[in-house]
Amino acid sequence: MILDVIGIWIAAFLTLAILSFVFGDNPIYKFAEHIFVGISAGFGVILALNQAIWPSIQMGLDPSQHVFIRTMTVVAILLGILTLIRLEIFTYIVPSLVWLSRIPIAFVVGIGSGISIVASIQGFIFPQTLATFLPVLSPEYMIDLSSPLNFLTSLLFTIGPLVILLGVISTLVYFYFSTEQRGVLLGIAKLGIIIMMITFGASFGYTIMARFSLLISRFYFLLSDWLNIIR
Amino acid sequence: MQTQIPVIVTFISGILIMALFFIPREPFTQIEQLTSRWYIIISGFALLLGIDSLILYHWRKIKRRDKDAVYSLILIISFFIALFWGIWAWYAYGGPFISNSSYLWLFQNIYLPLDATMFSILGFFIASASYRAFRARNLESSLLLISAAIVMMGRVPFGGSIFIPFFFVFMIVAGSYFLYIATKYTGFNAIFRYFLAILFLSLGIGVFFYSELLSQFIPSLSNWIMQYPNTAGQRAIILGLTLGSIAFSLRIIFGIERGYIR
Amino acid sequence: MRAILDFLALIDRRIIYAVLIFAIILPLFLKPTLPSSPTKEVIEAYNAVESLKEDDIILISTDYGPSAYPELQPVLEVVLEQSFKKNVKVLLMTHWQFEGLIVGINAIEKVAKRYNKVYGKDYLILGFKPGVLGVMIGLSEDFRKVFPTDYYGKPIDSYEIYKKLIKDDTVLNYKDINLLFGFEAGATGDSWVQIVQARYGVKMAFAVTAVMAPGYFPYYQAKQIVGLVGGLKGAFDYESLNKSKGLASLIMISQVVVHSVILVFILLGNVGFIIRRILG
Repeated sequence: MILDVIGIWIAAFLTLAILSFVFGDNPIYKFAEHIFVGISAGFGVILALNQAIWPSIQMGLDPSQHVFIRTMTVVAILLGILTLIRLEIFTYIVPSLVWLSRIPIAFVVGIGSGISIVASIQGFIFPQTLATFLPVLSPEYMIDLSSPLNFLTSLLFTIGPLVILLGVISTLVYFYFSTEQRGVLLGIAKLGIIIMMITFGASFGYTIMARFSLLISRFYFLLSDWLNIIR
Repeated sequence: MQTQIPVIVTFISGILIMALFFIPREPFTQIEQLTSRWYIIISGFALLLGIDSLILYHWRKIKRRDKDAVYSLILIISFFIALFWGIWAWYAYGGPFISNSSYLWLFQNIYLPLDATMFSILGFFIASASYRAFRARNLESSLLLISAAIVMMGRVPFGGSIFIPFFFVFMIVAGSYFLYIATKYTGFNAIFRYFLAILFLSLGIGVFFYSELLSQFIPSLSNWIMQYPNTAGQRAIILGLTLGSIAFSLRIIFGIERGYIR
Repeated sequence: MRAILDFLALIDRRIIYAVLIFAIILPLFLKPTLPSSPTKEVIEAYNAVESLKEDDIILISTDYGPSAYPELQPVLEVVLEQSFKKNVKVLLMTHWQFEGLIVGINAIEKVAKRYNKVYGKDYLILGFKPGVLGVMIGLSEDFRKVFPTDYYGKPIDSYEIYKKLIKDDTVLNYKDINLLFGFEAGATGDSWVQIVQARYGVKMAFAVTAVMAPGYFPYYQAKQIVGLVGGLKGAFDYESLNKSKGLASLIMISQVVVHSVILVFILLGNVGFIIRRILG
């Protein structure tokens, strides 16, 4: 397939073009970057038309649907079209009507805020708080005395829930009493800092893993699909 | 009126959707379903917002003949290629994203390498930044460094064995450092630093005798860090963020926060 | 001595980049078989898929794009393999615009061909709909209300698979879903848990990018999700559990070397830094 071969050469060129940014900004990088922005905007329009707007219109016109559903769909489509008054062109054509686009956006924002309030409370705050206040010694692990290594590992895992309990409380103390930290409170906040530093360290280690697995896969593409050196 | 109507709409829809959550019965469930479908349809149109501004911005740059106008031209050309190719593929294959559509060629060979490589070069910067910034300046930064190192090595095969020489060098250097600065202090401060020095040095030397043990321990330790201290820290941080976002959402619903009306 | 320490503490970034490039490329030629030691959360995610029976339904949500490809695509392919082997019915959807749609289609077409699975009989691609929160609530009543048509534009109830999907009642909704496997590169995974798991009690497992993974551990500890596959290490373990050798197994060796090299640089920097401090 000649198209596949051309495709791989283009892909390899664009990969190298972006990689060249490592040695400083340059015209080839800028070229590739602008292609990226243009292409993704084009894809975005096609996606919106093909997967969202056209199916909605189809649904509004579908005679097999109940008349109520069709009416409501048409109303939503009209609201959707109202959103489009926000497009820059209309600010020149009908500047006095642009504010109407705020109505559907206000609806979307209102619904979004309402759902996220309920979801945060029901789906995060409650279950996460409950999972913090567990028996401080994990019933899933037993202290294992067969070897020093097993002892140490099993000890750490057994006291895990205790670490979580103290860790969550102390980190929250560090967050919420940021002005007056004296005596016991200061000690607890110190523990909070330690927990946060370990957390940030872990996140950083994971971030390095993520960025490099992507970078390695790009080099793998260059070496195997393009140059055919490996495999 | 231009701001009052949107604020009222936000208030009603926000309160309504929260109230509906507490009444899971007909016909209220139907109203919830209806609002969610409206939400989907309106969001579909909203996907188009912003794209016109992008294109017009670059169009103006070309008209003004800015010094980077050639890139703007490239952007606009690639936008229209993606757009018309998509429309053509929709017509020719019955859908642009159908698995045999040629539109996917454009994705596979142009969009995918650009997007993936764009994010991958961050790897270089994060590596050089970690070299520059990860210095054991005090207790906090040492903890950050050690936890990152343990997680990095615990998350690859052979990580434990590779970690041993690093651990040895680090402990010896850190131990000698504390031994050195302990001489500059007196009383409890000196004792504490002597203690740390002896601890680090003995840990470093101990590695020689228990290298097998340490290499097996590192993966478990990184696992433990992820499951317990990391869980605790993340939970506390996200709890804080969640409480903040609830407050922000309430401000939006009650019309105090009006940033979205512009 | 002084000069060496200064050099160690202030290595030029271009030297670091060059060393990293070599550390990535050279190991790729070795192609060794590395040992894997899957962690508990990965094994549990694997078992959650493995415990599905014939005609159970798995809903897969591919919420990522090319920038998460090496971390999540291998897991997606193995999950599809597991499901097709057991004749589990697969539903594919995305919140991640065209990127999620296309990476999902690529994987499912590839694996389905290998197992001779037929579109509309064994699996269905629902496609993309905007408005994450609306979609999640809408699906709780009837999938047809959100996805009246599949991504080909045909009504989803016109396919043969639909009769299997609806099970005992007349509609397809969360009650029929046996497992939701989310592939997440962003915040949509949080919405899946906080809305769909909390409200409708759907069983969930996730494969997430390494950047997101630390933030998903609280959900795992609170048993809101049954399993978690994080980053390339997770993908590598997941492949090894299935005894398959995919992209993750091929590139893992470079990951080992790169992590070690970064650690060398951090150590060199610190040794230079500390000794310089002692010397004053």
